[in-house]
Amino acid sequence: MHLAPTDEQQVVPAAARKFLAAEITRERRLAWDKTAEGHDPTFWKAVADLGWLGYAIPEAYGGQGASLVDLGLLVEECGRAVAPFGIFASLCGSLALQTLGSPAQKRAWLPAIASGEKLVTLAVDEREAAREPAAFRTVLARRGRQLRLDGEKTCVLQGVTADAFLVAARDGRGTSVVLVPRDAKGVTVEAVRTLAKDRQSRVRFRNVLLPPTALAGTPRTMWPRLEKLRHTLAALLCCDLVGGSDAVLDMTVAYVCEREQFNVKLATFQAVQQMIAVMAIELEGARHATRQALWRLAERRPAAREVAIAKAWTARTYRDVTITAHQLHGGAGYVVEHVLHRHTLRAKQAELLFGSTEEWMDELAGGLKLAAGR
Amino acid sequence: MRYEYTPEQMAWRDEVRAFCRRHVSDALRAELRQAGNEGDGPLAKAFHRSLFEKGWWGVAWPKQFGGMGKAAVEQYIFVEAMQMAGAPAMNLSVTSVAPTILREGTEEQKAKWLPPILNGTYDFAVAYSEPNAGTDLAALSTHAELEGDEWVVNGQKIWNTGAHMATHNWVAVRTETDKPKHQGVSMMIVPMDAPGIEVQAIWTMSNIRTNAVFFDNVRIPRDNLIGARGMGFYYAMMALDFERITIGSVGMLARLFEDLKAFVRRTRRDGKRLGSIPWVRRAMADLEMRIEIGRHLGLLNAWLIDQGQVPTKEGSMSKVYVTELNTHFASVGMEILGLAGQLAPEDPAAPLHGRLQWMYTVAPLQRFGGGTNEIQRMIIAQRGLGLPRK
Repeated sequence: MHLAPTDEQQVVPAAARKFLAAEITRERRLAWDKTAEGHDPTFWKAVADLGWLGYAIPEAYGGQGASLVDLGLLVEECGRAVAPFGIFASLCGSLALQTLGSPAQKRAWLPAIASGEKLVTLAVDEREAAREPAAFRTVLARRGRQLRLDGEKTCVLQGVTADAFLVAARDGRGTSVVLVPRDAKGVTVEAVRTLAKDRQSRVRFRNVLLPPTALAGTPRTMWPRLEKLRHTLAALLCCDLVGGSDAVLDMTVAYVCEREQFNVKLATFQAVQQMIAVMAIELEGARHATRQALWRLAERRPAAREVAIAKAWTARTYRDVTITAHQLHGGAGYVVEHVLHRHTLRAKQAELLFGSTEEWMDELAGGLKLAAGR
Repeated sequence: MRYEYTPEQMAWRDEVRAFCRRHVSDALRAELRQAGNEGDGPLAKAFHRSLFEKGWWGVAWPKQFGGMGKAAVEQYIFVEAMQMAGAPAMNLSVTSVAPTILREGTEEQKAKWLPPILNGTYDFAVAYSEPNAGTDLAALSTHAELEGDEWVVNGQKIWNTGAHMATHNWVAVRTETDKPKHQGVSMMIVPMDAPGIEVQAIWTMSNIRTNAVFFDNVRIPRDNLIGARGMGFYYAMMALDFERITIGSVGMLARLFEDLKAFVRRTRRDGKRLGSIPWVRRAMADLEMRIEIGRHLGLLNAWLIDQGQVPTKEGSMSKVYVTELNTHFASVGMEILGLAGQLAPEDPAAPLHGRLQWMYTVAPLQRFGGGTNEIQRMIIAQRGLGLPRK
């Protein structure tokens, strides 16, 4: 048992924290808000040069081969800085390709993802389907040796700048995954405006013809692997939320220690101290629930229960921490120049991603086998 | 980073579980429910004897003082396994009084007091609080003056649970009136049969009897002052160490959750399986999640102790979280039991032997006892996060 990162494990996150704090200035963020991709090419190249985009990609594919746990510690830092969500989208896409892709697809795409030249992103959710494969309207059909894809995907992370999509589609009675280049004929990408102002997209596939090599993994059998992937990505997202909660607690402590009313620091009020302590307790639970889930996934242990607990508790914690932070910051934290609102919006949005809090509670209940008796 | 016990820790957990399987019977658990807080019955006494024989009374305490010197995580494992089995709790003589004598007493004091504590001949109550010294314990005013070779004790204690059955009382007494309040308290052993002691019953909501105890010129031998004069307040705080790991354990919650799960699985209501009703499923998942978070906080506290840190913040987090979860668990659990949730423990039809309603009545005590949760949250804010006191 070792409930903290080792010294060695802290090297990359510590450097990341410094880098992000120096690079992401208030002015730069406000400028990014106006761009299509939510960041700028200089920043993206700097991130790629640091090796983050290929951090967990195997060395054979041009990455650094870091473990999922180490990747999670890096993502914590991105969350602390509310870094552009494109980074997280790229990490999700590369994890998806690593777990689902064919060897040829990995060779073709992973090195370019690692170097930041290409972005592959995952397209699973639809307007009326997320958890039930039979409900998917996106369909893969055969036309001779060719494949034909039709359908529409929503909430595609960073779809606006993606070079290819890993698309889940109904295929006969099963589920298949195909890798679809952005420039394939019949693909249209529409930017979607979201609460957290990240760069999600609606992606339409109309009569998109693909070669058989577009298939990732074994056709019609991919649903369980997609679900496993969703567990991994949910746990990884939790790392972002833990880092974000940490940052919000820190900035709130700093603010109440500095702000004076009635000639005393806000921090001296017992009511304020009680609120701060509640934030800290929930966050500590979230940190360890998240790290445990990710550790179990990295060690290939059963982790469905732990991921459900981590996602439900951590997303709720981040949400509640930001709500309390607003109460304690007052007007100072309410303006767009203050970074707090970026945490607030990402927190609520994160409750919905990769399975909402209530959906995870439902999964957790399923694991308890409550209706198993006679 | 590693979220798993070491092989040695797993072996220790298995050993404790195996011991519990052998020594904690349904009959013992029934006896414990029957006895409530009114002392050990014959089966509980036998259980404690088997613990002593195994050498497990001193799991937490250093080897040089005769304990097992187990690390904090191993203590956590021990407490959780004992609670999950529904074993009798360790009594305060063993967890609080004996370790302090071991650590601070003279050789004569150790020889005189430890053997009868460990063989169960002496049983202690602990007397700290007073009507005007609760959370602010150092404000206590029960005092003792030295007259020749005897201390003469005068004053009043309250919440002196078990004093009506105990052979001895472990009393915090002001002996140094010229010192600052924290440095003027000493710890004394007062035999309960000494003349001048009056014990008055106080009955509480949870049917636990506690007591107000009055000391009127009670004379005790000079050597009954344990350790150094004026150090009593610090001894009392030190004795909370083991208690914090115990309070932060979710073993009892985990046990009750298993029982509640079994109830949900076997029960039908209005023609439906309870386990198929959405709100029941939601509530059960929520309890499962909250217990797991509590386990994380308790283990973190123990693990940090083993890293040589003083986890003041984490200890307080664990105490606040688990005691508040107890309230929540009992309340939600009773709703899941439905109308049967109100049945008193003595009613044979009471599901889970009425443990949930018992827990509901005990939970307030846990929130305000052992350092109120408000004080704990201030400790987290001030000592943990650096917020100013003034």
